[in-house]
Amino acid sequence: MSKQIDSTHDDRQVSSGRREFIKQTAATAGAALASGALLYTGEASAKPADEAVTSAQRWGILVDTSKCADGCNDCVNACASENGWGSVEHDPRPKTDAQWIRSVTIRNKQTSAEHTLPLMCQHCENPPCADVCPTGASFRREDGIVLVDKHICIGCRYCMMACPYKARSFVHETIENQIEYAPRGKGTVEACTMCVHRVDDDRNPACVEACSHQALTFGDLKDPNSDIAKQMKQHATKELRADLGLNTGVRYKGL
Amino acid sequence: MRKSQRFNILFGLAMAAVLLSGSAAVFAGVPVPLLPEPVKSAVEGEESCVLPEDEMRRVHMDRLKHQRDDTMHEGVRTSRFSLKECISCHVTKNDAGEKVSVKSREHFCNACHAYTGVTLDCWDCHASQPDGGQ
Amino acid sequence: MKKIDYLEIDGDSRGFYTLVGILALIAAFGAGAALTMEHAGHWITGMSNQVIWGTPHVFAVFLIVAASGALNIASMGTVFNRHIYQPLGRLSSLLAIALLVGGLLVLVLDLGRPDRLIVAMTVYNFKSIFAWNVLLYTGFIGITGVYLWFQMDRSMGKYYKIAGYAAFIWRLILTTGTGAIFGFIVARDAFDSAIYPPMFIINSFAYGMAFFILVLLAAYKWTARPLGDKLVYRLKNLLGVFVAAAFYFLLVYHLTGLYHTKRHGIEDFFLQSGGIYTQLFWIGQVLIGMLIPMFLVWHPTLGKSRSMISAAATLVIIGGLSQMYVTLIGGQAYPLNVFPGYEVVSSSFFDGGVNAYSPSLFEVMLGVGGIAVALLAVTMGVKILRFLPTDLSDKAVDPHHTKEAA
Repeated sequence: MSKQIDSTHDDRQVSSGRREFIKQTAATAGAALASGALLYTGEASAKPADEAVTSAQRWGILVDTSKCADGCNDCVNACASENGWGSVEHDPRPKTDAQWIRSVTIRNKQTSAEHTLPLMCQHCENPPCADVCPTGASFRREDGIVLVDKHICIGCRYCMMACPYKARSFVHETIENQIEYAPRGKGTVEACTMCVHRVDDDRNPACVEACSHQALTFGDLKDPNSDIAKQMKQHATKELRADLGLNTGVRYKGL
Repeated sequence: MRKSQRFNILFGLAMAAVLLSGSAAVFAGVPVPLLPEPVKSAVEGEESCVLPEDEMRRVHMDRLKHQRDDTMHEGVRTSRFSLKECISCHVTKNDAGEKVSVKSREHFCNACHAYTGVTLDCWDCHASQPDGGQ
Repeated sequence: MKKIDYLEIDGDSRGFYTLVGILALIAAFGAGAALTMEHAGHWITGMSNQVIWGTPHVFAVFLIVAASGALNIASMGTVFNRHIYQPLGRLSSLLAIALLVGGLLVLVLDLGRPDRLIVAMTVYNFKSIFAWNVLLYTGFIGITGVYLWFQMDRSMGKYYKIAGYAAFIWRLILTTGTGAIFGFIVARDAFDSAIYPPMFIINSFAYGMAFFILVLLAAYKWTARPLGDKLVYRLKNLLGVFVAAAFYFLLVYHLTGLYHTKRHGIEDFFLQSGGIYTQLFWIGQVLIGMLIPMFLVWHPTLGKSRSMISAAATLVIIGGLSQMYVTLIGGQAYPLNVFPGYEVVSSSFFDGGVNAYSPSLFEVMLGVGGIAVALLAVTMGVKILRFLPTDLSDKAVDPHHTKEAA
């Protein structure tokens, strides 16, 4: 027992030192980046494994639609293989198969301007899915990531009725051979987790990592030195269905 | 009235018979499962890697549930009581050297739970073998 | 007024056993359908990730709404002191509980994880109207049960009024909660409106009354107990008034939609371009469910015929199911407007298009099974306990009858 406590204590010291280091690096890097070019600056959570996440951070993703390429599906494929959806054993059944993220092309009705963008859970600050969930299975983590606690999800699907983005899928059939860090099962609702297992491990979400067009930026919206915060300060960005006042964690640039 | 009394007695006898025959089968010796040994040995300086065996038998479900909520809602990702850690440490292989899934009676969790008749729904969602069984 | 006697029905005729047999068979088919869906998963149904709630929800919500309305007859006797309805209070309460149980069964059996019902009943998020509804529904069964007990047990007679008031207020809150399920959905154009709770209350009056009239007429015809015209005419006139009120709310809902530019899309979908939903709206909900029943119950000669009154009540139920189908499934078939000002050129997840849905046999069987369970419970109830007055002739129910006749 005492052994365990000692070792976690050590962890904490190491990581707080590391956090300082990263902050300094980020600051230096940020100063060096006049153009706001997208370099991964390691905006790290650097959270010891035994500590709870806090609202000191708010994770978000910025989508630059001007860089997102029509016909490219890299983020979607990366998400599917990371989390084990899409690679189902049965024949594809598009109406009932889960889709955590999808590529959508839209056209402005007035100007005919076309944009391609990925659409997934927008990780709202005030998520309607969590409001309507009878058991509290849908919830927002302190750091802003909206998740489904499948242990207490009863499969009523009210969250799917409530979501303005159709971001959620209901698992319509039995699933086997799940990925260890991405549990999924029949009769429960699921959606983009912002790759929470990666975020807790200081890594970027799979979609962000896979995007070869630098159209996706992941980071802490509350950290003014983070890449994402700087970009959002510099450029106009948009929330989808801003009229609903949900304060989404996923924002779009160039719409 | 008398008819229903007679029915009650008969029903009671039938239930008793069912119960007796059931427990007789248990006493007659369904073999207690042999639990597979963990892959990793105990942590240095400690008797066991997680908790002493007898304690683990009694409280593993509470610990797992506690950890489950901490991980799910707060992002606490220590490994000591994590289900993933149970699975990867107590992985069992069959004669062909493949990692078995929870469908097999040899699987660490299933060995005991099948014996005690406790059905779990962990595996509806969670992987029951590490690395996709590879 | 004569003292009202209540008595169990004999329930030993071939007709009775046939009725019970048929209802039990339908219920068994419903149970089979639920098991099949549960085992295979929802992909075998018509539901999808686009149309999330299907036919089971149409039946379930309809039954739950009708349940609260079925209690109205008892409330009119207890709360509003209309003595003529008091002999019907027991049947009204029984029918209310039975319909609610039938509806809840369907709702619960369509969950993704019905095995976790205990979670739904122990873990609550009180911002969710669903969580409140779990309490409202179970509370309704409890309170109406107590109300029923006080109606039947003369020693508890002094608490009968209190129980009646409690049940009446509770049922109003309950239907408010049911309507709010839709009223609170901000994301979808068809919902997101405060008119849903009051509209559901007014609908419940009509649907509940329709069920009650059918059960009452059938019970008294099949048991050959006297049932006077006075009571039947009052009930059918009320049915007409309730349907008219529901029509008014429907009108206000759509007029508001036609006024708001942002709702023009959904209004066009419901009223003109929605295919099956438009047809069900005009033919099912408006014509069959409202106009024809109002014509029938208020027609000077047709309105005096019991078969026409039964027909009107049946049409109100068909119209009610149509209303739920249009509201619930039509509301989901209409696409979400994720990108206002834009149209969707391509998407792998059916964005921007009308979502297809056709009910599977399993879903219909489960839904109809819920109605069968409700009716089975009423049938068994009136055989086991004293729900039905032996005499509901004009003389028995109306103290002024002889005076008026003279």
